[in-house]
Amino acid sequence: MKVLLSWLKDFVDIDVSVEQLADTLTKNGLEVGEIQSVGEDFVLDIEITPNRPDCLSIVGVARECAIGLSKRFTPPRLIFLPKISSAYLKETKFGVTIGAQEACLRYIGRVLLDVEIAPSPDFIKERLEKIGLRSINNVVDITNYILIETGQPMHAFDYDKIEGKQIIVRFAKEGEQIISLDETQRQLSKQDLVIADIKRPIALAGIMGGYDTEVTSKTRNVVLESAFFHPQTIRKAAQRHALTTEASYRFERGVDFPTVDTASVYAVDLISKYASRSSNKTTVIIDKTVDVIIKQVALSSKVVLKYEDVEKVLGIMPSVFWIRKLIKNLGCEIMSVSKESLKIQAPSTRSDLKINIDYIEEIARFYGYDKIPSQGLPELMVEKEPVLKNFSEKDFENQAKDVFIKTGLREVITYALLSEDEIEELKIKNTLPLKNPLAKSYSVLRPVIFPSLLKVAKYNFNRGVYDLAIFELGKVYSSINSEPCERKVAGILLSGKKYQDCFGNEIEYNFYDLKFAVETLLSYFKISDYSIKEAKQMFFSNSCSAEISVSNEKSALIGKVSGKIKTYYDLKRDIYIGEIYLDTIKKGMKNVIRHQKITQYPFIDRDFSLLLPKAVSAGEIIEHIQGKNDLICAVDIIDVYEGKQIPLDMKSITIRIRFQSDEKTLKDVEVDRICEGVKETLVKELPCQIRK
Amino acid sequence: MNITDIQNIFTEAEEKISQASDSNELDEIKHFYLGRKGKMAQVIKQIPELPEEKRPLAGKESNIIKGKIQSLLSDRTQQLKTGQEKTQKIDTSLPAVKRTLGGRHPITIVIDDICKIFEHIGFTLVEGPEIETDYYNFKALNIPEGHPARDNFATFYLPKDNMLLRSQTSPVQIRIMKDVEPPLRILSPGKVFRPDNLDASHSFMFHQIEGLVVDKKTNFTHLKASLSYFVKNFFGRDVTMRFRPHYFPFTEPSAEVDIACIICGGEGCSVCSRTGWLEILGAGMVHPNVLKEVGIEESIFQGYAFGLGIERIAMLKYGITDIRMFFNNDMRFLKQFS
Repeated sequence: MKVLLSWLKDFVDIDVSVEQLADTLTKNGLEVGEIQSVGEDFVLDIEITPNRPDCLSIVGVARECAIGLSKRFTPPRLIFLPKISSAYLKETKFGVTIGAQEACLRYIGRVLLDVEIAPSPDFIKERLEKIGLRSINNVVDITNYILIETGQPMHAFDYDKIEGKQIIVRFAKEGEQIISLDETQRQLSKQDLVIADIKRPIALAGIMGGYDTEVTSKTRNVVLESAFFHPQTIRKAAQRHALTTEASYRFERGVDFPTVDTASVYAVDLISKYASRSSNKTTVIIDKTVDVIIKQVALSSKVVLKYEDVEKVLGIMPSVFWIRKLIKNLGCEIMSVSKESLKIQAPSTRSDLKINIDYIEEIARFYGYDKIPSQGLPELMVEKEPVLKNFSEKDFENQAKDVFIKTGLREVITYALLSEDEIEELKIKNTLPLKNPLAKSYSVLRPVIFPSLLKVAKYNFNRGVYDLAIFELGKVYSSINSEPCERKVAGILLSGKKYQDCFGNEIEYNFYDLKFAVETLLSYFKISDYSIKEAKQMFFSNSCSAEISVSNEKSALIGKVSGKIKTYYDLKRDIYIGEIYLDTIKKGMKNVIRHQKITQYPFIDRDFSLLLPKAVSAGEIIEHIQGKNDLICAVDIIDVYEGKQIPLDMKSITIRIRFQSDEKTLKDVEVDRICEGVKETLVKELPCQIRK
Repeated sequence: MNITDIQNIFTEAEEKISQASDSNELDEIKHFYLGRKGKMAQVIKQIPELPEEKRPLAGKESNIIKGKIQSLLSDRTQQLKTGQEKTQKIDTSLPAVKRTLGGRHPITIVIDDICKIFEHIGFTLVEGPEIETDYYNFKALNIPEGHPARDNFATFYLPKDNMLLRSQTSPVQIRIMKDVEPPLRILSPGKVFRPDNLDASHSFMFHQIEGLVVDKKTNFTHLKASLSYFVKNFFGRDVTMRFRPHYFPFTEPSAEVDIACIICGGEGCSVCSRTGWLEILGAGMVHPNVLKEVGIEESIFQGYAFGLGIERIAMLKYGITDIRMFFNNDMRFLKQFS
């Protein structure tokens, strides 16, 4: 809210600089943003938190200033309706009906006759203009002036343009329209509260008046509206019409029930003074006042504030005398006093003061957060830590990240939302679309992590960065039995060169680098019980994709991105991509590490080559060798060859078997005997032959 | 034979050694002079035949010459070796081999830094789901129906009733308080979502860290101490900070914490909107309604909570002016942080 310094001075004697005032207000909870100087005056831009509608007024802010600066607060003077001789009364026709009683708790309509529409007096015009409001004419300006000063929005209608001279507060009917003061035609909905006459809506209640009944230079008689509208109703309507006004802003936060009347009387007073057409030019004729009260807004209930509670929450105890003074300065009434407590009644303007803690906050605010010491970090409650550890995923996650980073992968963080179009392309069912997406391109929670990573690749390729090794730890989302679910995964993407030097050596990422990253993670977490098999997945090219299972549970999918997906994302390079389901890894991990003795006896290696059909996988061969003899401690594939000297549908695989004992030095003859045995079984069990 | 003969042998050897061009030649020279039947051996053999008064001098001289030849030989060997290295000199200015390097995302770095600081003072890291219910995200946090935060333009909703993407990390507080008896001291980083259109300072997905302490005597002075500890450790001992009253539905009294603008030092600039201060976190004493809701006896226990936005902190720390940089994942950007 924009607040003019000189206006505040109507209610409080400010004798400090504007900067000091701003500092005080900020320290007490009304944060002052920019201070703008206008002539010799200043405008303070104050952020009013939603719990303080009372401070959406000069009077409210002035009260805060007074307390903060320890100055006397001068309340607005009481104004009484001017007495008017009966000779003037014309028994004007006018009535108010509240149809929508849940949305309008009070409506005061006052008919003022013989007003003279003219420019505003200078002090009103200047004050409004300094805070950025446009001066229109005396009557309209007076309503705006009072809105700023008291926080109560008001509206003036041209009485003569109201059909049937009846004000009806009701919800709009289907198909009704209104042209608002900003000369915009608005389609109304059944949830829009309107002020209507007997024929049509003449104002969007609490937001903006209608163009047809606007006060113009020709207006002679006005209806002055002051009301209490239900905050929610106004907020929803303002949203629907994308129209926030000074009035709607205050109604949304709630206006003060008694001020509905006092502000109206204040307006009558000012209009009498500055917009009268009557012979003596001092008063207007108030012809009729209709005050319809549907329901009084109750005062907050009385609160017993115990001093010990103040100390318990704040850790400090201001003097009782100071507390009592503060409570009074807030506008509260102290109903009774005891040694340990105060019984307090909050004023109607402070509907936020409902319970004990609300008063403790007021005490803290004005005592000064800066003056409350910062002391004694709370003691450690060590015994609780193990219980909480069960909730913690962070350690595990951090370790996984470390593993990926050590294998050369860089972390990315991507948006967890995809477009509907992508979901359609990926043909994934049971996804979770948002009910209220911002844009089509971010409307469905990602069911897999690949698309996010592919978009990172695209972004970088477009900027000439082609060598990528990235990972993301994030969630994927789906609907399982119509329950929304989330699952933590790690995504990996590799593309381009992994090694290059200036001697012409270059190595591109391939499938086995991806497999390396996954296996490194598995081995880091001591998971040995896993298997790898070919997998068919639409994201992957048929010739290059695998599924890794830990304890027979699907734990990772890895492969080369299929041509179809590459075309869809407009990617022209080879990309390898993987998704690891971290929950399965966490389940399979071995926490307990037992040291194994390192044998002191040397190993012996034996290499031999096999000729076998291409369809037989290396994995099968290894499976057939491992465990055949206790002295076999490792089986490695050291060469795969296809081409010259090898028949077309065959391949040659060179195997290295390592033999080692932890009891003795092995002899060549012994190892040769075992190796021959292995070869014999291989030839027997697999369609292969030993190459000489 | 006399002393001069011995010295002549040395002169001769010296010349030969200096002319030798490889180690084979040096080996031959060594053999010729110092070998078992070499020249020096022959000289030494002849010493007993000399007149008695000349014998000591000749012996001494022979030994010195032997030593000198030996050291000449090893010097020349060294010389030749160095010479060989010279011919194989490499161009050290050629580029190093290129390999992609791993590293953490700047958001992760900042989260880790913050967590470490709080872990030092006894906070335990916990986690909560990103898909939340209306209850945990709002109701239990004293945010009633009809509150603006619940609007369609402030929270993303899922098709299933009452399900949403959390708009803050605060629901984790509720989950922990409902599951674990106080005393509690937790910290919870994570992703949150709000329907804000993407621009330089808004993102529909960002990160927060939530902290919560609940104990019998935890009061406002402890809140100030913990947060001061954090600010001093994260932004530096010398940073000026202030606690300013604010409003949050789930805490009371509530505070916002500002630090003196690290760009302009408090003078006022565009980053701090000319106020000289940067708001970095929100905090407060847990509202009694929240404690009541989770079944913690609010007359016995009280606590404080705080929350901060990671992107904002990271932007301040690294001088980043566009929040979208974090999610574009431009390698040229990411490489600058680790």
